[in-house]
Amino acid sequence: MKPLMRIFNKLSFLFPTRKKKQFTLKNKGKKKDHDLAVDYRDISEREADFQKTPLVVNLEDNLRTITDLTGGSYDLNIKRCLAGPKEVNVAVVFFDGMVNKESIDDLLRIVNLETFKTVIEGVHKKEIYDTVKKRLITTKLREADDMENLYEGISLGDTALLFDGTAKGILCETRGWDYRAIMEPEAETTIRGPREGFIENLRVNTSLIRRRIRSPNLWIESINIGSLTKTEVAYAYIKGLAGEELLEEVRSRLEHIDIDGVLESGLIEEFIRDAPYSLFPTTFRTERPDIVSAALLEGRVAILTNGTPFVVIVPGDFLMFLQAPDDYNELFPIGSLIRTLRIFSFLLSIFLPGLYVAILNYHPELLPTTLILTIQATREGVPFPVVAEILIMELAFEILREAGLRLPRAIGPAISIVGALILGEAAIRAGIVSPGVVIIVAFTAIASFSTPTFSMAISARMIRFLIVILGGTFGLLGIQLGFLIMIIHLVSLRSFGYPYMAPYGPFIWSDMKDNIIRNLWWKLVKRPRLLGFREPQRQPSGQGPRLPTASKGPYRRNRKRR
Amino acid sequence: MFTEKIVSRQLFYLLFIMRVTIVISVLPVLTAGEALQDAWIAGAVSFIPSAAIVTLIGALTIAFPGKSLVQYSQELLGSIAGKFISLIYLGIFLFMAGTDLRIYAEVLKTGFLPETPISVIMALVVFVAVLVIFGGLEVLGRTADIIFPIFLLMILGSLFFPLIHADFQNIQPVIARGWSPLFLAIVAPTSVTAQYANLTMLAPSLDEQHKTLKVALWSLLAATFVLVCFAVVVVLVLGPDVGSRAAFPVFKMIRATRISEFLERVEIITIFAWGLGLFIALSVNLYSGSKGLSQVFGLQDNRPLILPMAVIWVVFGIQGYRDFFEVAQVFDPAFFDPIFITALLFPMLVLWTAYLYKRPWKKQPRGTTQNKG
Repeated sequence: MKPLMRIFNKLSFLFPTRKKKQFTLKNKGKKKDHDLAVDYRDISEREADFQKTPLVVNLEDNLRTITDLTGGSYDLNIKRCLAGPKEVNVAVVFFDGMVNKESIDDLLRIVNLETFKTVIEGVHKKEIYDTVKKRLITTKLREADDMENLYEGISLGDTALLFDGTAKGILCETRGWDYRAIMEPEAETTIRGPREGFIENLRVNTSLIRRRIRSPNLWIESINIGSLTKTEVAYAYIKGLAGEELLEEVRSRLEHIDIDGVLESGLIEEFIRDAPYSLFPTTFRTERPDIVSAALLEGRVAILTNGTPFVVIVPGDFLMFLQAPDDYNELFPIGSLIRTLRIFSFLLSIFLPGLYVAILNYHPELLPTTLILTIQATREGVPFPVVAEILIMELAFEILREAGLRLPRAIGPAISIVGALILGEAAIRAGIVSPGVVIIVAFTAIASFSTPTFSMAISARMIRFLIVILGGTFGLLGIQLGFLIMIIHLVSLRSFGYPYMAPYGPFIWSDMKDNIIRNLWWKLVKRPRLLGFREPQRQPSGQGPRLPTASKGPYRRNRKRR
Repeated sequence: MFTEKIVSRQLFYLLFIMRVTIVISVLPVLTAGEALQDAWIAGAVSFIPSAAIVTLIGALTIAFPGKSLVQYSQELLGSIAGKFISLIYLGIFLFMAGTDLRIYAEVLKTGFLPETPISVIMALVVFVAVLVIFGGLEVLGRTADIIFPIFLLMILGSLFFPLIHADFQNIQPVIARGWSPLFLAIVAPTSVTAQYANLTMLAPSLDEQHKTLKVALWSLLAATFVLVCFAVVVVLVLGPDVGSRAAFPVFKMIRATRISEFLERVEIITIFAWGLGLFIALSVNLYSGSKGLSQVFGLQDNRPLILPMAVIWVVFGIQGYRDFFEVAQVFDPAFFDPIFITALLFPMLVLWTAYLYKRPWKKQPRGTTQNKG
């Protein structure tokens, strides 16, 4: 073989190929320091450079390394000054826009003052570092002795203080950047309840939770995820209430994530989900701090991601997705009734089109005679079978919804006029679809909007199509089987080891008071059994309102008088 | 290894749903023709012999905690004889499940899906049972948790809706023809207790195994109550003659229900409840059958056996009966009792004999006897 290959190689001049610049391997080792544009090292090598470069004694060398490694970025600011009577070179490194300018001025002032105060002792290069470190009391300090730590600090908005003659830097916390104001989340509105919503800033988000739960046992741990973005991901829980196994599970799952960037908590959600191929969401996400706080009080864990207002709550259970804060904030009977209604409409949004198809195709005798006659009369002249009709209209509606979502607000109403009024009306007039189908599709859509969480509503949307096909092929038997398969799937799901359908499968009697039905809050003495098992008692029982027998006012109840 | 557990409540649900399903489907032959308007008394009295049989089945599982019938029969009778007895015993699961399946499929075919081949209906229904058993017994228990309230509501609905047509003349006179027809009518509901054969396979997975028998008897009592209710309502609505001769009187009764102009055709809820119940019955039988067979042959897992077993069921359901009328009469004592005696009573009696002969409860731990000597 070898001689043959040699001949081929020699013949290769017959087929001249365009010479590629060889980026790989050969040049990788070589550093071309002067011209950045011809620096062919790849991203992982560049990242590794950061990790292995330590700070050195010479300040100028350090600063050059920083500018080299960051490419002298536009927003990188390096300020030099002299400190102390011996005029030691000091540099301040920070990113513009990430820091609070005033605090940097303060910082420099303090550095100057303190170094001049210590005329007698700390004037030499080595000692000035320790002096400043001791005397800087205004901000949180950290030490950094290599580039990686240093950069990690300044990329978060810290300011690095570098001294000539010391191979270490001080990172002072001077974070201050602009963020969106706290507003009510548009996707989760309530009639009654706090109007605050999470924003993109992790610090503000943790403070929103901390303000609600002032216990020292609200613990917030954080890790960085993403090899490039190094996104801060924090998980909050109430120590002593959340199960240790659950915490361990959350921790290990988060630590196992190894990706380049986290831009939204949805990515994390997909990494830590239990049944990745399931159509049902097993992690709950919300923008509302009150929901998160309530979940923490039940013994769940909240995962907050920097850069997104969406907080992930684990473990999630099925009924959680059909509850809204209003259920608790209004009178308890209406809370219970609305919950029941919501579950009913959730089921409708899955099964209604399928039922329509099945009954009309296979079991028309199930409907009262007049009703079936009315429906059949309107279907006169419609060219499609019912299944096709329903599928077409559902598809049209999905397109409509998606289009409405992407449109700018200003022309939003236009789509509803064109879509709903013109298209629907014209389709019926033209006899392409029957009014019955339009009614069913519209009602299903409205029912699906009553699901409080979007993630559950979209799984209902997907399952709806499967049910339509089942109903179209096997009639009511198909729908029953679909229902059974759905239940089997739901009960076999687990979220972080907790059964997804609890308190219904497995059935837990003590949790029934706050489920489909919500009882009075002072009667909900017990925490959810599977989650809050470490301390089942939430509050002492018997706290119901009492007659004011003890008061001495004019309304005193005199029992003896008849 | 992770062992799957169900709790007593779930076992109760499973047994109750299975028994009530049979009641809905084959009530006429259950409280057979001889009793006529006294069918409900026969149903109530049948609790006593049924309870005896359940005790016969369930008491041994308590004596051998953590072991299924296949395992303790080998302990009692030796390996070969034990396996032989177990195989006979396992036959009852095939029979019950195949028959249940065929009856349901026949009703669906005649009532709702006249053009669908019966094999398709049966395969579909079995497919769901296969799914749940692949999930494991725990999943089945939780499914029962969710299904039970729905099932109960539907049963109550199909009991109360027909009451509007009730005629209380139908139920009189009470016990006019003496007790003898009653005793004949007791035989059928008693032999349907063969369903409780599943108890011996489910009990090892129960978390509190000493409660097995208690749970089984309570479920039997509850189911007997439902049976009596249905017998009363059927006789009230249809009258003794039609009630004892129609193929599916419960079904016939609900089909005739019509409340004002709007509420008619409520039999769909009965069919739906029946479907749910059948699903539970099939799954439990499938679990017991595959688990038992895997234990007979010493397999680690019962999952490889599930699919072939399901296929065999469908084939048995189709080939086992010539036509609809043969299926409808399957629980007739003349037909069913020989099967009941060979597949259930005979193995149980053999095992009990062996048990009483060996007296394992008298065996003392070795340490104590040595100390005495």
